[in-house]
Amino acid sequence: MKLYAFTILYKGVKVSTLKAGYDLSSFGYFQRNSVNEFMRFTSQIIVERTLVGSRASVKEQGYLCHVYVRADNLSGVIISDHEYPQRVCFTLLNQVLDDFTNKVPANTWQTAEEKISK
Amino acid sequence: MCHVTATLRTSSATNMAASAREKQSAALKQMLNFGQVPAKQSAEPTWKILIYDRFGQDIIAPLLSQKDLRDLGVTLHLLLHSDRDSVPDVPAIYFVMPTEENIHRICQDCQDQLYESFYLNFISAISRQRLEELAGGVLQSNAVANISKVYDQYLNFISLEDDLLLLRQQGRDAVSYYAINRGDVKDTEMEQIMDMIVDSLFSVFVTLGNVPVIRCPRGNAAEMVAEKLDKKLRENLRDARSSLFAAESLQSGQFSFQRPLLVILDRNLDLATMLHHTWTYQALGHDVLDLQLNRITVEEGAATPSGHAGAKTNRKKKIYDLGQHDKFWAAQKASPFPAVAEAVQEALDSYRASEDEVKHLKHAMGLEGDEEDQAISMLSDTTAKLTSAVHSLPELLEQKRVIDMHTTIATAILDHIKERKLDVYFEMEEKLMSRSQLDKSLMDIITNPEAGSAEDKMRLFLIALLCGQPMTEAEIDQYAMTLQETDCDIAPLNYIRKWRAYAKISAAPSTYTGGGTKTVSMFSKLMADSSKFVMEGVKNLVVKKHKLPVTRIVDALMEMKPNDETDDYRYFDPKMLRASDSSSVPRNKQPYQEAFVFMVGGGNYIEYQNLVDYVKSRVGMGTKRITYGCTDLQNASQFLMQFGHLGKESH
Repeated sequence: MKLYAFTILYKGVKVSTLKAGYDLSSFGYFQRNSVNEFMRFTSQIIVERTLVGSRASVKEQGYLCHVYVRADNLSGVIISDHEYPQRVCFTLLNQVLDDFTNKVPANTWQTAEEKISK
Repeated sequence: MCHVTATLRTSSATNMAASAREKQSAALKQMLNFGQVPAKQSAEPTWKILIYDRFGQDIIAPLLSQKDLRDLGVTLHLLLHSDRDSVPDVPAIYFVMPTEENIHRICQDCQDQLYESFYLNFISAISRQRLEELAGGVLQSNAVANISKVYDQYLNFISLEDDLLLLRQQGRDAVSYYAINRGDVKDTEMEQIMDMIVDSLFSVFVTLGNVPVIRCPRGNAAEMVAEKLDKKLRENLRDARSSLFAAESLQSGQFSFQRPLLVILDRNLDLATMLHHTWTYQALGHDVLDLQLNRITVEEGAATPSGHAGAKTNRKKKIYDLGQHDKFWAAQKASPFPAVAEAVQEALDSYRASEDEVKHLKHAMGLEGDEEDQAISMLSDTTAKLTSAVHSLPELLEQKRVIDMHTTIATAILDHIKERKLDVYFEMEEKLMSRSQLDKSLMDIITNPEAGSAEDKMRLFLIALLCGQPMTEAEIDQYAMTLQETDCDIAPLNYIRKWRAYAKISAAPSTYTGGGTKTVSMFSKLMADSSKFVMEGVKNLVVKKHKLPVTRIVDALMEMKPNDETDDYRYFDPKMLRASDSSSVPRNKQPYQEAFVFMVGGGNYIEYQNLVDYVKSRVGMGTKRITYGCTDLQNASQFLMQFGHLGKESH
């Protein structure tokens, strides 16, 4: 039962990634970079295609992506394996998005972008 | 007082630069001569004892035989970590890695005063810390005077052929495909592995005395190795105190077109070649029997895997040395198997003819003894004949030994081929790899209980998955079930499915070009005579010339040809003053004359052979030499086992 990625995004005119966390320890050392990029990209695309105010679970290449786009356009994506229970994912998404809202003022979401340090 | 020096390599006077193997062999001989260049006139050598660790053992074994060691004056050779008795009045030459454990043992030996004097040779450069530990330990036991010399040998690699190197035989798990590709690897662990590989590659070029230009793909282990190696070479060149590359630079290496190209590649570029069934003698020996460090092990008796349970314990194993002096091996190791079988037969026939001649002579001698008059005039003539026969006797005996050895080996291989129908697998895989049409369906072969072991089937299926027509997930599941029913371990399959999703798959249709096989219908002598090799039912396949992925890449890079894959490769030149942006390749129009190909994550004889064939095909066109190196040589079952470990991990 594994969680691979958790991404918080903002669904504005364009989708932007605000913050992401990964656990890629089950991937080979040299695969991690490309897996990382793949997950980042997938998360963005999924949010683009999900309607505001809805939740969805999408199967992608043997992994499950759970997405929740809130009414205020703050979105979260969890990428996990098939065993990870769906309900737990969505509860987690709710929780984390609430925590994020408390910590980061809403007016910064539109213009903020995660700085990717190499 | 002792001092650390790098050995001075004698510069080669010949025009054609010596191979890595020749240089390594010369370095070892110099080491065994207490660091002095061996004199041409071989006087009686000083007697000495040689002590090595398992890495030193693997390095020396393919280069120096027991006889060679004795000729160089080595009376006794022992492992470092063994119980050794004191042999006073004799110098001891150590050839070990500079690890903490080894240093400790050396200090112990000094303290116990096992030998008269100690010549310490470290396979890779000893670090300052260890050197201080050594000095401290030796000082404590008042044995400083006994240490005569301490050398950094920079010989941290194994040479099997003039153009074939590997890094590890014993201790290979540390740098295997599994070690590099498994999940759960910490940064520090990966750094360690990469450093080991870089140290060995560095040794290779120190031994050659040449600084290469490095090319590598992006985003994998090869890139990491290339970056680190470039850094290490650069640091060394800039270091005024170091003279590792100074000696040879006047002759070679000044101009980049005389410098070799080093291409570092990652195993993930081409997995199919590691699983491929093969048809040439040396590669077959490696795949089907146990070939390590040029020694092959043959089980006597039935070589079939389906032998009776009881029979296994009775089988004896014979180990044969396949050395440089074996002319038959040198001529046949690259030949397709039917040609080898014919060659053995021919060799046997010609031996019998020589044997008959000698018998004839003995017979003739016996008769002629009666007639005195004739005897006197015939005597000088027959004496000459007899002398030549006597001289040729040891040669004949040697010939017989070699023929017997190859007969045994070839027979064992043939048994495997017939039992497992390896010719069928080979043919199918060649078709898959060259994207030709299959005349039998894949499912047929897999479900056929008579053809091939479970491993053979898995190998074939994985190649189909990697190179053949694309399959849907449902089809793959179906094959997986079928394979499981034939007692196959499907963990390797799970790994490859996962791998496909995330590997940058460049195995486009152009990857395996040409290839395929032609079936030559007639067998000539083999069937007609009462030959030992009954190849009935075995196809006489001839392989068409083709380039494996590695060969294609090396060709493109050496000839400076534009190529989708290699255009994006990084470029490192440690000799350039400024570390340039390695994305911009300087416009060097000259193709390279010499190249080293290094495969990180394991290699095999098939890949090696393909490069050798490529070099042969370019005789007269400028490419002079390509040396193939890899972290270790794996045959298909060993490689499959690694896939199995990796497959089980993700579950």
